[in-house]
Amino acid sequence: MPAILSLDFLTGLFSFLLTLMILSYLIGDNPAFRIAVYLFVGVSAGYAAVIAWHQVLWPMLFVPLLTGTFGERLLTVIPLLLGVMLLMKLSHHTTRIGNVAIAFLVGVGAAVAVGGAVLGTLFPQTAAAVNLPSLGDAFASLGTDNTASVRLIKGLFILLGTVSTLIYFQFSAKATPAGPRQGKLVQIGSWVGQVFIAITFGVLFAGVFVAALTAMIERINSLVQFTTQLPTLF
Amino acid sequence: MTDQRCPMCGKPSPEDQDTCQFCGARLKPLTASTPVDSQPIHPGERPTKRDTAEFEKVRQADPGSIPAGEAPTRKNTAELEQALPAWLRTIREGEHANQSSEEESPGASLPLERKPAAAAIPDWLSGLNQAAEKNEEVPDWLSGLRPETSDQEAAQPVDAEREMPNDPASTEWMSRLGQEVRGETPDKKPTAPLPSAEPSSPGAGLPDWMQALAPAAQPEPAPGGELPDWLGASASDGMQELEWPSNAPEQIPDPASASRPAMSVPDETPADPAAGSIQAWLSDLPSVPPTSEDAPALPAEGVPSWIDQLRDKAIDPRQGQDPREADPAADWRPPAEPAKEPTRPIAEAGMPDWIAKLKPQTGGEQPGNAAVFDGGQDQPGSQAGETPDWLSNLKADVNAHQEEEAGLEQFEVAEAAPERKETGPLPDWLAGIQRPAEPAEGTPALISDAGSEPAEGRGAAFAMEAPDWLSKLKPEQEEEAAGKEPSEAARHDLESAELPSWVQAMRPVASVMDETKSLPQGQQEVEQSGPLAGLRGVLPASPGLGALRKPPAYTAKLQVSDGQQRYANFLERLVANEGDARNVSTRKSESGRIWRWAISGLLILVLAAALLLGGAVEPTSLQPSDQGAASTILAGLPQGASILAAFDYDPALSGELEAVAAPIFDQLLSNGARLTLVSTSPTGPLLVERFLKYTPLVNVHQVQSGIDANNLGYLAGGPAGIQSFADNPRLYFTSLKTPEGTNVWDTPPLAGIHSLADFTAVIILTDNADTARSWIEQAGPYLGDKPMLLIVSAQAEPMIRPYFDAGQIAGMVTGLADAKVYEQAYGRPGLAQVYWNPLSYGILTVEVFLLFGGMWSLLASLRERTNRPRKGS
Repeated sequence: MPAILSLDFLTGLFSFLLTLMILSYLIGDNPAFRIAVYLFVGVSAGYAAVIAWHQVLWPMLFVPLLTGTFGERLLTVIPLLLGVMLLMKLSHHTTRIGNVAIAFLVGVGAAVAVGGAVLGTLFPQTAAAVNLPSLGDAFASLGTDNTASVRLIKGLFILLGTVSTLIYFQFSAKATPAGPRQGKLVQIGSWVGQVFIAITFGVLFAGVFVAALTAMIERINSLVQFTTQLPTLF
Repeated sequence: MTDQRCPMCGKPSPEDQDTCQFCGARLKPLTASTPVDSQPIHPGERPTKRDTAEFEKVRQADPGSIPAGEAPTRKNTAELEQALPAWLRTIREGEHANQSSEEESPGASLPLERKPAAAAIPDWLSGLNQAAEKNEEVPDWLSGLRPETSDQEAAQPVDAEREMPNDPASTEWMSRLGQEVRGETPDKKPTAPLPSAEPSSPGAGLPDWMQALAPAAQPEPAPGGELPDWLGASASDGMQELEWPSNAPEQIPDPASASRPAMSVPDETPADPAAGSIQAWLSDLPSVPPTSEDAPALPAEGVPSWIDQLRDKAIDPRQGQDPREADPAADWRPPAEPAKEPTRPIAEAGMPDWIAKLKPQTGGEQPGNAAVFDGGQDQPGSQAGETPDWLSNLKADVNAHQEEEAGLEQFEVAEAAPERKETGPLPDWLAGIQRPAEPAEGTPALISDAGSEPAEGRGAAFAMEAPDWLSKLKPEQEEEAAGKEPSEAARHDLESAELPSWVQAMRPVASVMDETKSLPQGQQEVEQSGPLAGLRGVLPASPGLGALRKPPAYTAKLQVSDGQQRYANFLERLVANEGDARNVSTRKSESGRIWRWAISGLLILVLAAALLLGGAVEPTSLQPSDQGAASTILAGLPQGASILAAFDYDPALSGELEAVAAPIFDQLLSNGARLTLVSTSPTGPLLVERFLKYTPLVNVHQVQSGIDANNLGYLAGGPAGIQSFADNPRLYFTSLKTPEGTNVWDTPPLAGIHSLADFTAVIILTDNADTARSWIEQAGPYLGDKPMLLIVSAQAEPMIRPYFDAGQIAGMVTGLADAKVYEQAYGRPGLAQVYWNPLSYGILTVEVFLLFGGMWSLLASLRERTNRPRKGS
């Protein structure tokens, strides 16, 4: 089989073309870009549907229902029923039937999310924020093991950033003849909070940029490699 | 000719019309000819005090008419006579009598002193002189006294003093009167209150005997020396027998002159004398000798001097002359008519001669006042014997005297009236007498029948009680009346008459016409609402309520200020324009596209160049972001460790994560770790396959499914699925089989795995902080002391760092930098090495762009700041 007809080449070629089609957005919205986007969305949706069937519905719902024991079948009846009720949302006349499934989903999701947020984020983060080393340990670790001091400094910095950021988002002010005015301390804290917020936004932007640039590098590398390997195929 | 206003529609109509030419309403009342603006006195009503300015309204349509109560023009002393108070009148009469006695024949020696003719001579006689000289037609009221005999009355000598009945039936009272006069005491005063006037219809409201005495257009020639017995007897006694007022003048003027002013009777005054007063003066009256051929002479021996004077005046050569012309000072007198013909004696059988002579005579214009006793005027058309000679002589005398006496004392009052008006001692009603001669509409003094000529009424009756109006009667006026419609003459006289309030009070109730439209046209209220809207003089619906009015209409408009209205309009426009599609400018920013092309092109060029050129990658001195914690953990993993790896990143960032995860998984696979791969994203399993097959450093290990790694597939349910999987992994993937058909839980990678804690480590590969948080929150509590490592994208690292700092995760590998470090540490170059140089050049390029853009923006802002004050200045 000629290499040009190999799957790799075709795949590479197809990838090369799609990449160029996506990069054509630089000159503006164009049909090539739209085709590439639509292909991506369509393929993604189709693949997801296949995955959902093959890895969720069939093995977890229909197989137990068909070949499982009584207990397994009984257990699968409930999700089957909820699934059917959820499908009732498609019709205007039966949409109220799907409210039960929606309510189950919303309830379970909220519970999991709230529990995880509280137990997995709020408490540990709070504990980690307050679990600062003492000043004595911090000063003692200076010069040797800067862990405690560093942690202390880091904690103080975190505290300052957190408080100043919250102060920045405090928009209440005192009414004065010259207009609404905030206190001096509030103004200073707000200014510090602006600094922290600006730094945070900068870091986030940098991370996004680096990630995007890395992705671009990968695509360009792919193009370059395909281009360089193309002559060898012929 | 002045127009008259219709009482219904208010539109002007010619004065000679009886009905309105627009609406057809009657302009002249049938019962009385009071003008539209006349103000009738209702029974029990108090007379209204009127402004003398209203005298201006007295119109004098016919110069020959003598409207009663007229503004005291010098022409019409009879009107003034009426307006004058009684005491003043007596004074004038006395003066006039004295003057007349000086000029007249010796026979005209009045027994009584009548120097102030106005004061001595009764009121009804005071205007005789005026009436004899007037050229005006007989007042309507007088002419209306005998409306059916208008022609006859016109020929009668104008009776300025009273109207004499012409019919035999009316002579009865005269005969009775004569009898009574003979028996009257001389103490009785001849003065009598003036009756109310009805100028429009001379005969309206008058007794029959008055109506018979229609004012004559021309003064009848004085009858030839025939006096009734009673009058002759009294004349022989002289004027001393006459009862004159105490303030009677010394000299009794001649009858003509004395009677002219003194007997000037306004036309409005109807001939309704009191019998007692008539009797008094009749008994004292001497016989009036006839004068000239024009005026029938009265027996000289039995005629008082004043009567003789009257007679002489009647034949005065200036009869034909307008007394106003002859006497400029007498402008206040009614216009005198041409020379009147002497009154003719009354020759009817059964009627005293003197009464018969008082009949109005028909004829043309006659000068002088239309005095009843105008004996100097000739009435061709008058009925013979209708007016006594003495009466006609009186009339003639009055006319003659008026013509030659320009500044007669009897006219002093009238002359003084303007003076008084100027100086102000006179009351307003008298001061206004000297107003212009143009008469305006006024309240008629005499309500006469419609169609009755003033001339007809004059001389028709001998009114003892109404001297003033009687003086207006002239024989010549009868002729005018004969040629006119009675209603017109009466209308002229009555319309223009203006009565003072005290005269109105004396008007008999019967003579008051039922004129509802008595208010002047201008004073009447116009109905504003209801079915009678637009009409004048409408009676109110009920006393005290006044005119009906529409309820006030309150505006429903919102009271807003200008500023509020502007805001409201602005809001309205906003709401209205809300649904309007706005034309979005499709103009593209050319500068933005160029800059985008430039930057992207340059960046691609740099990256491509870096990738093509390659180059040595300098070892990095960077430390891992987690300070090597992940590497430590990885280094401490035993051989064949079961590693649970979750590939939860999007295909877009697969290039970065594949480059970052490659050295880690290379290390793991190199250590014989068995991988269990799962993903919470539907595309995760596909990415797992790609990672294991196509990623450098990993693909060399040629991971086999079911032996080296098990791909569990898609983990549905999001956080709940993670939590469920973390709780019981086997339960979640119960019937999962390998491609060979083997249960995955029976494969070596998952052998002995019942919970999440059975895994040696959990590695989460994600580009999303939320996904990482979900794994941390849901699966972390189920790990126990097993480490959880996160391989995250550079964009998610800031959000996941707190979890590493909090100790919830054991290690983090972030971005390409950590990958390079790990590759460098492991000594196995991978994608990180390939991507490192382009990444560095790319970052450098972007940094240059950022720096250049920042400086450009700073310079632009500085330039704008400096230019702003310049523009403002």
